[in-house]
Amino acid sequence: MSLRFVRNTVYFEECCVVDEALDLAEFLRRTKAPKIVLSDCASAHTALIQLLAAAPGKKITPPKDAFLARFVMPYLSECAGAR
Amino acid sequence: MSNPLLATFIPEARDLIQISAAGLLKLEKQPDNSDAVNEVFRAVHTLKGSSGLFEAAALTRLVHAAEDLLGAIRSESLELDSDLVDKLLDSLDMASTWIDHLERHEKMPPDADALSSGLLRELRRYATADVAPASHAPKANDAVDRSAPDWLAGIEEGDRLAAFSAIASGAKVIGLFYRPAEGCFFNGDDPLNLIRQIPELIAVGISERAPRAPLAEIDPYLCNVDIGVLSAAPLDEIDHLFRYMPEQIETLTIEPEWLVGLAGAPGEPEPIGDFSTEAEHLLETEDFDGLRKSASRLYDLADRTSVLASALRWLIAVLDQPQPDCAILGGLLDAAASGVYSGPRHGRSTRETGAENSAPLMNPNRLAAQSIISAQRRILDLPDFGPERLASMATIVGNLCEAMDIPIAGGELEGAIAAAGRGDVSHLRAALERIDRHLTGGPAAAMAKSDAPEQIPLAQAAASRAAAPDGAPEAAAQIRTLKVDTAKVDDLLNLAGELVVSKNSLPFLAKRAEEVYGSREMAREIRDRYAVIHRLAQEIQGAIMAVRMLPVSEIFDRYPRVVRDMARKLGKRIELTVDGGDTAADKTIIEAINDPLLHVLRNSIDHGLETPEQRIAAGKTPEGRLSLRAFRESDQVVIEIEDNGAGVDPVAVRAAAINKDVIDAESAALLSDQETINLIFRPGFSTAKVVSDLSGRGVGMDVVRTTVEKLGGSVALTSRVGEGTTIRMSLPLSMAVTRVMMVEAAGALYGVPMDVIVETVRLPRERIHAIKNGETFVLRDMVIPLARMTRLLRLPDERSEAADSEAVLVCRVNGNPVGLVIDDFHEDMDVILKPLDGILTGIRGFAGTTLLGDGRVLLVLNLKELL
Repeated sequence: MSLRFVRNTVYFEECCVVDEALDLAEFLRRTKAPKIVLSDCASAHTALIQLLAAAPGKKITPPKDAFLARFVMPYLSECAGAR
Repeated sequence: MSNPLLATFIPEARDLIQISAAGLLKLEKQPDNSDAVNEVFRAVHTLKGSSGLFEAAALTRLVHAAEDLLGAIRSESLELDSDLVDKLLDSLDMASTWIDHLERHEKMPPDADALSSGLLRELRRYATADVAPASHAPKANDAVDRSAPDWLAGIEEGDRLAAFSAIASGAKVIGLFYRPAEGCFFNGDDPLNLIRQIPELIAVGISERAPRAPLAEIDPYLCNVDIGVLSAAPLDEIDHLFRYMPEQIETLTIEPEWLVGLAGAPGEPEPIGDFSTEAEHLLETEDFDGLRKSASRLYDLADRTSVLASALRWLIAVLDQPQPDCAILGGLLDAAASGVYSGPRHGRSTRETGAENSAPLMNPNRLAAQSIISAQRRILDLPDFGPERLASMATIVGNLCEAMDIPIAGGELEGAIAAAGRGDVSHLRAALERIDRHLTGGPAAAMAKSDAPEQIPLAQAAASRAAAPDGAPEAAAQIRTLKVDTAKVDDLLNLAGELVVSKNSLPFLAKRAEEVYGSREMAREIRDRYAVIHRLAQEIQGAIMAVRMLPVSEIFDRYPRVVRDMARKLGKRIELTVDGGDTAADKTIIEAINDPLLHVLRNSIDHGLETPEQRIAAGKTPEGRLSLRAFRESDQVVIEIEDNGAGVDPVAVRAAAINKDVIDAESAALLSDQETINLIFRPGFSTAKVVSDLSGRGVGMDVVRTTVEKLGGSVALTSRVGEGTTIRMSLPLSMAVTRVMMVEAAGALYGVPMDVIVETVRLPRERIHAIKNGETFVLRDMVIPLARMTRLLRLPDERSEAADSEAVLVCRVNGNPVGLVIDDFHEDMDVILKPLDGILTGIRGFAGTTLLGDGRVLLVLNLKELL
């Protein structure tokens, strides 16, 4: 598992694949203000990114990965606002 | 086959290829038949999808290219003509060859890649000629000059500036819009990961396709993003990366002026009077350095988030180019003053008239409207907003819709605002999203159903998916046919045959019970049981035979294609009608009849039907008629091939027959016209002057006759010169069960098929006359030649001269009666004939073998070969 759920935080580690989308969706649904740690994420499947974008009230620790930081983060932070 | 998936794929693929080919032919005749287009498209699409599961990249690529063309035909951006049909059919043929190879070797032939690229090039020629401009060109109605794609507006200003300077420094920037299929995650696609692999990325803009549903209702496995990308990578590399999904992407070369567009909150234009005047002057004198300095100075003072700052940034970027474009600079100076960028200055008037159709970037109002809407959406996201904010939002959005001519249902906005006042902002949010989408050029239809709740609950969505037009889940519920490998049915038939044979041993047992053990009671009981088993065995056999019955359409369906191809090649016009395709016959018959039938058809097209000119000269319609009919006549299937061509000329046939030593001149003179025509069935006969590629390959009508007769059928040809020819083939419905009569010769039993036997006679010796070397006898005023079975089979002739009569089996072979002298007659029985195989295959004179009830092997004779 490359997603690690610790209370209201999810750690994305290494390559995160589509198989974990259901777990992530479940986590985001039950967590009010989820913290999302992308620092050690090397890549994340589109399905996961899509879910993150839809999560209200999230706080994201930005990724080190250049592609995610440069091209995906703007999309995620654009949708970061609380509901 | 070790791969069960492949084993399922192969028959499915064959079906799909057949459906596609039939559909294409239909389409060629009726290009407007949208059902046919859809059918072919679906079949090819499914084939492509399934082939992707196997190591068959060449196949997938080829089918994919075909699918693209069909897609273009479906969307009416490409016209289907006969040449294109030829190409598509060729591709299907290739695919079919590969499928055969896959079945035998479980891998693609080594030359597949080379063949595939050849065909692909040809298919692409159509694609580039017609499709590419259609799909790659901008969607503007008057697409004389290209305009910016809508999605460019979603790219951040910084990225656009970067792309702009990349173009300025000589790079070619490719714009890519990637719209992944909704179910792409299931195919193992990861759109973002694919984007990550694009070299020299400049910008990525991710946007949502459908308005985002609340988290609780999102299906995590449905892809809901569209991705716009700017990259300096060569187009080839991008195409290669997306080679499996070319239909999901649109690529185009970005023009620098498309990138110009302002960001920032529109507001009151800032007073920049001095700058304006100065800048205009500098622009007129083309003092770009001065203009740049002046702009930089003002930029240092400006609020970086303002539209002014954005305009200045662009101004500086344009000025950084070696050859700044004055038109854009002018437009930007206007923008700096007004807060709205209206495109390059000189072309403004034309741009504005085409405003509705051009991209939002070119349309300042639309851009401004978009930023207004996004501001409203941000306001909605704020933790709390009072009623006064709502009221102002209502006014702003209402005015905006009116100004931008956005159709919004009366009362919808008011309703949404009122709901928002009660604390439920979802309607308002949805309405804003819809307006936004309308502005970004999303589906205009989105506005139409404004009263319906925007977010379809998941269950409902699933239900509507289930009821999708292709109806797959519905069909699943009503599967009534089962696909079974024919080998399994053959096994079953063999087993039933064994059952019949072992059942036949019961009468022997009854006989033994009576004769050896002296129990007549027991014998009767065994016979009773035998009767029951016999009936059941017959029924089982009947049921299995019914499974093996195939409609003749199995082979008839291939012919329209053959006829069309040949007619095109020969420059003839032929209308083929096919009737009685649902007439059923045993699989063996159907399969075996294909080649002779094809040969007859080819003959009709090649030699029978004339060219349009010849036909008109003969006073006929230019279009030749060829009809293929199948029907059932008692226990026979009759197939008739009729043409209204030139007919067979008996004079020509007679001359040719004499010429080829098929018959000598004196005998030929005695023949009637019909008998003469029948000469064409003789070996070594062919009247065609030129051996063409289509028929007359040395396999003459004699092969047709032999094949049909081997199946237990017959062929007849009737023809009238100038009016046409009819060929009639009669075939048995089934050849699995043969009724034979057992006869004895030299102490051994042989079977003779019932269908050749005319009668049995016991012939007193004195009635046998010897004429030259042969023996004959007279039966009801007819002289019948006699043949001795022992001599035919080279058996020792043990019969002494003592017997005063001979057992003679009168048979009809090749239409002539012949008497077969045997030792004795025995009973007749139904047998399952097993052909001689292995090293016995070549032995002539035997139709096959069967097992007797007591375990002995019975050889069944083929009299046509023996005599």
